[in-house]
Amino acid sequence: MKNRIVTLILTLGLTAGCQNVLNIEPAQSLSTEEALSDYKSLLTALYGAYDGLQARSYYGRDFLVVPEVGGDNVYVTIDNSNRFLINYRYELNANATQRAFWEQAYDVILRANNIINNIDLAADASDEERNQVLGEALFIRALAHFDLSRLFCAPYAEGTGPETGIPIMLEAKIGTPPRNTLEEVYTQIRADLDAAIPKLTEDVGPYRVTAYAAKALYARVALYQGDNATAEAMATDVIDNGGYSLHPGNDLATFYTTSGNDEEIFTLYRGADETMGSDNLGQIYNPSGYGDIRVTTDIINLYEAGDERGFNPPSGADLIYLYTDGEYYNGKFLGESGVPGLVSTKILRLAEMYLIRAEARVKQGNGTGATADVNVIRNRAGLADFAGTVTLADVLDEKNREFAFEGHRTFDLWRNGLPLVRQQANTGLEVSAPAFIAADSYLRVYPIPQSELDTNPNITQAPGY
Amino acid sequence: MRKVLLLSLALLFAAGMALAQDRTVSGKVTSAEDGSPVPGANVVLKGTTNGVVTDMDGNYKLSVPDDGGVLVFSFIGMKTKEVEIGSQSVIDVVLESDAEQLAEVVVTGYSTVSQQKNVAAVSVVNSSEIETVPMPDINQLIQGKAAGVYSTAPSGQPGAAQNIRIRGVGSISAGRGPLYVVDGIIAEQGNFTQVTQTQDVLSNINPNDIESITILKDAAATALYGSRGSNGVILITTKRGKVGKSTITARAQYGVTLKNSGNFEMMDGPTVWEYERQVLRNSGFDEATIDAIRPQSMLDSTFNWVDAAFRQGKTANYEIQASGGNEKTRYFVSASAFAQDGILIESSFKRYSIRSNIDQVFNDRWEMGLNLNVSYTDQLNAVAGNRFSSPLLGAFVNTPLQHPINPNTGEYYTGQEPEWMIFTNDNFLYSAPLNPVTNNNLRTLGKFNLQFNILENLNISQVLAVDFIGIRESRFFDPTTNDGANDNGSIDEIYNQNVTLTSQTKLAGNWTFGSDHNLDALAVFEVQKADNESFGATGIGLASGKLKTLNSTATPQDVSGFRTGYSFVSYLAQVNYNYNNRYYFTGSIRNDGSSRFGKNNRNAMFWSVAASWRIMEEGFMSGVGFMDDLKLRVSYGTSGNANIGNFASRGLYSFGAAYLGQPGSAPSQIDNPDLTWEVSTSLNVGLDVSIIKSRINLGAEYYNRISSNLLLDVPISATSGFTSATRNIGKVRNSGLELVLNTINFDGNFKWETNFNIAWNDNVILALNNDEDIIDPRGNFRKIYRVGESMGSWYIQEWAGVNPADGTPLWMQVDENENPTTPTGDYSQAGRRIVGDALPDFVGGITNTLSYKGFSLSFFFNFVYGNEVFNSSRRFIESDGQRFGWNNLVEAGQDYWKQPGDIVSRPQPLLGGNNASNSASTRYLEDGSYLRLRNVTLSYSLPSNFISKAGFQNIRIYAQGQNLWTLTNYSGFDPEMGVTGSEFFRYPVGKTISLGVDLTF
Repeated sequence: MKNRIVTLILTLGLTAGCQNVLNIEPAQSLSTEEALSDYKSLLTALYGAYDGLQARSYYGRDFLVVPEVGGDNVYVTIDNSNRFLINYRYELNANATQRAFWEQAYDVILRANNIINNIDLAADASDEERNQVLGEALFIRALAHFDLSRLFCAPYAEGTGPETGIPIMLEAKIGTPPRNTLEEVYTQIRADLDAAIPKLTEDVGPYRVTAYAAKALYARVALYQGDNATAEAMATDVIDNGGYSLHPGNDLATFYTTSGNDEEIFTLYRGADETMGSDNLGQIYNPSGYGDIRVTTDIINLYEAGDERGFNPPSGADLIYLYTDGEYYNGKFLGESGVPGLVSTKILRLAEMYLIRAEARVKQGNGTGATADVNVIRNRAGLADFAGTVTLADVLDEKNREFAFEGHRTFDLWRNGLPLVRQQANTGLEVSAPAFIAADSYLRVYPIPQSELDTNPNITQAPGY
Repeated sequence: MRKVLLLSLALLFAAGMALAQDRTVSGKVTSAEDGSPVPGANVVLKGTTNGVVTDMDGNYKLSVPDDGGVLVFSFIGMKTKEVEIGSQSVIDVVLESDAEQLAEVVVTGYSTVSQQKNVAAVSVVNSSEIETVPMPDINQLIQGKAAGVYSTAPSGQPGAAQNIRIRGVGSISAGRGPLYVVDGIIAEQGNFTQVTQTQDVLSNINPNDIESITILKDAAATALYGSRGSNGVILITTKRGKVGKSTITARAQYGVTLKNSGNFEMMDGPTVWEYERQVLRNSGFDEATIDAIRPQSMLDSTFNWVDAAFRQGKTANYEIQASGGNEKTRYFVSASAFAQDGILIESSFKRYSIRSNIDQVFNDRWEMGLNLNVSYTDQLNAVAGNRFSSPLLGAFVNTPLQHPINPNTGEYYTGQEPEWMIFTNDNFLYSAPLNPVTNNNLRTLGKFNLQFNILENLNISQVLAVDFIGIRESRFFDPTTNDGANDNGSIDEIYNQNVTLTSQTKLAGNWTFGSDHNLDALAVFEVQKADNESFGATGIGLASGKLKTLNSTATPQDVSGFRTGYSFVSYLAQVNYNYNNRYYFTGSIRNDGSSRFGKNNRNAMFWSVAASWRIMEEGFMSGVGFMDDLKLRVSYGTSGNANIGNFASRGLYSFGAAYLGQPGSAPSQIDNPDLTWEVSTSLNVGLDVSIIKSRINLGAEYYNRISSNLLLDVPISATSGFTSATRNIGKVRNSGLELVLNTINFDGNFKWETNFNIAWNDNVILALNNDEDIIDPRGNFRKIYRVGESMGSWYIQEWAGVNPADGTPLWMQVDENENPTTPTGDYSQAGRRIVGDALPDFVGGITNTLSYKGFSLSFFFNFVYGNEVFNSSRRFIESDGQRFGWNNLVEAGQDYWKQPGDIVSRPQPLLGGNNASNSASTRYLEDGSYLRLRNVTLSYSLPSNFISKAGFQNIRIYAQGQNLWTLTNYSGFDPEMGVTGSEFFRYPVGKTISLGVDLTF
């Protein structure tokens, strides 16, 4: 009897102790249903979507460097850390290029889609609150589609037929989508922005998206599309009604090492606690970091004497400076909050609106209006008015002076049908690289990553790869 | 057990008979092995209850009847001896050790069986084979010792985690390593660290505390471990006290470790200077420019970075073990201190370990056991994260044209000076000592066992065990070093705690029916729950590198943490039956429920059946005199692999993201409620043969293991926002043959033994998702999973040599069937195809032991054959100029293209590289086969009659060498590498020479 009691006690005691042993819930993750359940959780997901834009492979660094290193403003020094070499040298192939950006952009799209498609769950919020979150998510989805098309598609002007776009994703779905047409992509981007603008009613800029941020992006999208009238109208709306003002030209050094200035329409904030160390955007340029990418005389020579944006400016801003090794460096991304190379990416700012409008006007034959816009930018930079009437080339030069190193260069060349000409190339300072890429070269379009080709039989590679 | 029963009955009867006793016999019992006295031996007058136990000096005195009789002398581990008393009054007896009795027990995890009854495929590595080998990790010790066990060292960092694969690779995405069981308790293993590159919690166990390592290989053995057994099980049994003499053993061992360069050599200063000038010349620079970029003055102070990064390592081990016991209480206690300085600067490992294993028999009913092991390790890890600032990469990346000492100051460059020409902006000789990466690991393994014998043949026992692992990691970046400069110095502190609690309730019994039917059975209820928690903090901004604590940082930068866990609730049962010790049958079943499985599949059932036939026992074998044993074994059954993520089945949002100081959330995992364990079904056929008085023992095993429901991280289109999703769809087969041959070539004063094992394994993928190829993202997209091919298949472009016309690289194009067609100079046009296999064709080892009197000499070789290794390091140090400013392999400067018509192996080196010639291709794929003299040991035990006067039982001195010689064609440091077969600036394993002494008294 005693034996049986012992046995019973041992067995029962243990069994009772582990009734709930098999139910263990994750402590730092939530199931999708719990993570998206009410206004607060959707707002948290929205911050998560912004966080996705901040990734190194996207606006954290790479997406701002690729269009520059592929252009004529900078070069990769021979003693380099092997970063962005293939981009500088145009050794583009499906195995080695911008896969991380492709994946990150679609990750951002998923984050936005989950908010857009579950917005009804925010029933506990006011209409304004709910609409604001929805509008921001729509903007983010539009931006990511647009940025994908900028890198992976031929310019809109070259045609919008089958296989010209990238896959449009409007819901969380595992699939094998083919490329949409570029026309469909732009239509979707405009539809998202059209839907977003009336919903964005809160004054949360510049670190979150406002209606004027959506209009500013709309202006850029329309310009890329060659819809110059819309581009002009949207830019005008932002300039006249947005309440933004250009930062003083003699204080550009402060402008580029701080964020939240009156000129900024949409800036992706990055605090000191979000530093990526040597992967901070600026550290690919700064000698204290990798210092691989340096400034060419091509861009230095483009500035007139006295230009606050050029070399040796009156204010001493040093947005381009000569380092002890005798080479020129980019001084726009020295750092913020005391952290070297840390940058809150200024994705949309007022100066671009003037230059979008100038470009749209000159393309519509309004040279006078375009000149006026260019002069606003020239005056801010401490220069006198342009002598005469600007041509498209003048506007694009001004755009390059204003936005050098800020991630526009090759996109502006290709969409205007211009070739890449590097005056400074292969002199011994640089890694050897092509000095000329024709405007119709297949290299202006990035190849679809091999990983996507391997998993998605319906997608077609860009021509030439 | 039956014998015990009969004996008990006999004793009872005997007690009933009163006999006259009128004289005394006395004597001494000694051991044949060394002549030492045997205390605690039983001396019984045969057929009576009359008996005594020998005293501490082995002496006994016993009254016997006048007419004599027979005395039975017995002691555990020794052959029982019977002596006719006759008229003698002094009877001294020498007992011989009973090797069979010692070796016959096989630990199977939940129980032990005699070798004779064992039907499963197991390999056993005994303490004698692993004791005193100066390596911190037990996995390093079984390499080449057990057939079918492929153990590799991905890093030579002392204390690094090892890779073990038993009978091939049976999983694609889930864990591939075996389950570890320490003294019957499933134990945590692997790497829990976050900023340290590699640290194995198994290295906390002192190998010298281990009695045996048993490797369970077939379903008959692994089915008992159910959903966790399919990758094989490694049972570690620690030493326990033995009844009888007490011993104290003190060990001291000291050794040095040397760099093992293999076939590997980097350029020296003048060579790289000349080579780089040629690269510039080839790239069209004029001599004036070349002189400016690579001036003659650079040769004034060149430097050998490889020699600076590596050093002579040291190993020291000091240890005391004591063991002994009587019929009631047995104990084994030990304390040890082990220290190893690695061959790379700033790498070391120290372990302090204490163990106490106690067994107590209270009475016929109650028994108890307690195992307690506390150990603390301290690892300094110089290779964290393969950073450019680690000495490991620096040794190869840093050009010899840059001297580490600044001539102006006479001190080390920090690497951030403008004139510093190495792109990493780091000088590891300056930074590595200032930037320590350390981890301290406290592990406590405690096990309590209480057994109640319900009947003589039926008992119930309860085991409670705690496995506590606390790991504290620290990473420091001095503000004056390049890694610290960005943040002006930073400190990471991480604490990780892992607690696993186990409860086992076990009911075991055995019965005999008639004289021929023997049955034993086992039922176990087991609950295991593990919690893993971590928190960490990072601070940046240090006023001085001498400030080492978080509170002296200016900015708290990051707080991190996680909590995860899993649980298993399991029932298992096993029944063993044999008929007349000739036919054996075993059946087992286990049910596992686990928190890891998807909600639609919470419980898993596994089973096995096995039989063996001792052909030797058959009458028709009686005439076969030369044969001592012949046994055939067959088993079939299932086991699982639950080594999947703790929450792998859930659709999850994670909250690591943040924006504007607000928490953010993002999808982190796709929902998969059907996700479940992987299942292996295996067949094993084994044959054991022993001939010529057991001097030749042959074991052969054939197995066929089919693993299905394999979890596949199926790559999916990134348009979904994810790049992979986990599914249960794959199927793979491992089949193979294992041979073990142990022979005693000479016996007597001069003894020569040979132990040889070899195992072939064939790995074939049988099914994949829609049978579509999977290009493995974990293998840098250089491996493919394809139906009909090995899981180790290399899938890369085929190198087609150098174009003699212009010195550019060529690769093969392939047609739609992946057959090579014509060469191309455009890498993007070259086609990938399967060009090799990272898994070896066969592996094995051979040990020869020669002994003469007190001397013993053993040679242990292990070998691996037929695997291809992708030497990714060469892409960087043999890059045809692409890595200008790095150092290069000596070979990179040889046999390259110079002029049209040259038939050479390397393209013309050009600044920035020659048409991406260093892209992944078969140019960097090499044969990884090797034969290595893994261990050679020479030892001498001083004669016992000599040392016994000084109070010693044994004095053994020894010298041994590890990895002294290697035969390989591999061009890197070391052909022994992780099972991925991919080389990227690994920490190589060194050569160790050590001396030691064991004192037993």
